Amino acid sequence: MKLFLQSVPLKHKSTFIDQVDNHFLIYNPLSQKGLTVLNQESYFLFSKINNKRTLQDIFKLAKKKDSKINFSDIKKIFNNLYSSQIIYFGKDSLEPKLYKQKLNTPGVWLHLTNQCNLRCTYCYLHKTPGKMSQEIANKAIEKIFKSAQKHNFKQIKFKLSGGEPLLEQKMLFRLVNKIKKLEDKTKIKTIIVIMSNGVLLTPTICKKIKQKKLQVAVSLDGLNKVHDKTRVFVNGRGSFKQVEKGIDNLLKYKVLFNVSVTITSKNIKNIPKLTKYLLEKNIPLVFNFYRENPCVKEELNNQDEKLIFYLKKAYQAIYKNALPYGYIDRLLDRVVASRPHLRPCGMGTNYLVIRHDGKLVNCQMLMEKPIGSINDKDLIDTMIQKDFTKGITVEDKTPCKNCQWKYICCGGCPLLTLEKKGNYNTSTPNCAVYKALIPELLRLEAKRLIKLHKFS
Amino acid sequence: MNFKKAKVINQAKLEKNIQKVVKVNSQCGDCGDCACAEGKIKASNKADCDCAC
Repeated sequence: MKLFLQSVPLKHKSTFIDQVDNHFLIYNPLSQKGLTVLNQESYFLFSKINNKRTLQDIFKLAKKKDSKINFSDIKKIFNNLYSSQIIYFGKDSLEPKLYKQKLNTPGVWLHLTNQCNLRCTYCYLHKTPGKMSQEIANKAIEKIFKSAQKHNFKQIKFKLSGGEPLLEQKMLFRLVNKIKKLEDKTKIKTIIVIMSNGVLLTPTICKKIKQKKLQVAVSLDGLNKVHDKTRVFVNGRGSFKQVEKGIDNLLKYKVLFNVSVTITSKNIKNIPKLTKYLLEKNIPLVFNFYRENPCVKEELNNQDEKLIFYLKKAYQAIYKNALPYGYIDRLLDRVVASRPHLRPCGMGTNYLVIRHDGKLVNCQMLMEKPIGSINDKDLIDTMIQKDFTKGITVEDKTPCKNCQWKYICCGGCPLLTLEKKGNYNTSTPNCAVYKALIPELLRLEAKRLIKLHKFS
Repeated sequence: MNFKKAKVINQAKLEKNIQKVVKVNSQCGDCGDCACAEGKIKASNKADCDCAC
């Protein structure tokens, strides 16, 4: 960017500024480059921006602090601020970029079975003996690849789920082979993730998963009895011991995996302890809030204060053990702070669920509301045309209009909002929790960047 | 103050550099249960992340 003495640097009105470890965290919710950390010197210059001062004005102020500074130093620093997208110049607003995002990977949830060996208290699924036949599985995969080719996608992410998909191991690995063959044929890359409750992750299976280069997402909701309160076998016995063994096997065979934690009223207090446990094992974790669903009425009502308190404690544990990978998009439910966006999830844009019977649905929480089937001409077209939320974005949600965080929360899960508020065209019931914790999340990320910077 | 010492640490830029030398288990977390490809650090840079959701 060519800068001149008369250039006027501008800050976005929603810019969030805070101090972390003698540094300054600068977060422009419209930046595509995530957050930025400044030291005392660069922050001095940044703080002089008032949307009126020219670079020459700021240069003069800087000269009073450091007589050796020259204008080329100023230009270099402001170019860095500009490329970090925390400032902009004149008409070069950041806002239009928000609407130019192109999603390049459709996510396809293949629901292999309605059966499960667990009966988790908050599960959204009606358990039945239904499972996907090989014929349906093959057709679904072929149609997805065909549709992805037509839409010029370079990559597809498959999530093999259920019920418990590892109950259908033979079918699952046949399916993986089929996907790999089509990947070779079409040159469309794939990522395959097994969504598992963790109890069947034996050494043999983990070895096979590693060999096939699959990834795993394991559910773990707490330590020992806390996990066992919600994630129980059909006979009511808790599953923690088996899941812990499964996780150890994943670690032993170096499978790429994460632990997904669903936060309910039953495990909130245990979240900090669970976080420490996972950090000690160097396991990436994801926090999701329980969502009400037609199958069950688990409680997470009126728990905002508790959620904020215990999540802050969990964040503190992470703060102390800053790990090299990012947290900013996975520790606060639907909040994705690393880039601005308009919709909270991929529903209707790049996310499709294929039921065991070959019917298509928008989201796994809408299993009883099919929008088409694998017999449709183009599955991705069906997904886009039959979007449950009819394409609404955060811009359509009146209460979110002036919110500083609207492009990173996007009004939260529309299905939860619909369930709790009667329509999805408004702010999330988790609004207060998100608002209280987003700054904490940003501080956490800033801390990580400072630590990483020392090593880079 | 010595402005030669001015530092701007940007998340996306830093991770791009780190990605070259470190390989870790990382997920974007957008959907709550996904995992980014090949364990490379992409998690905090959604602009570059190919996550499905």
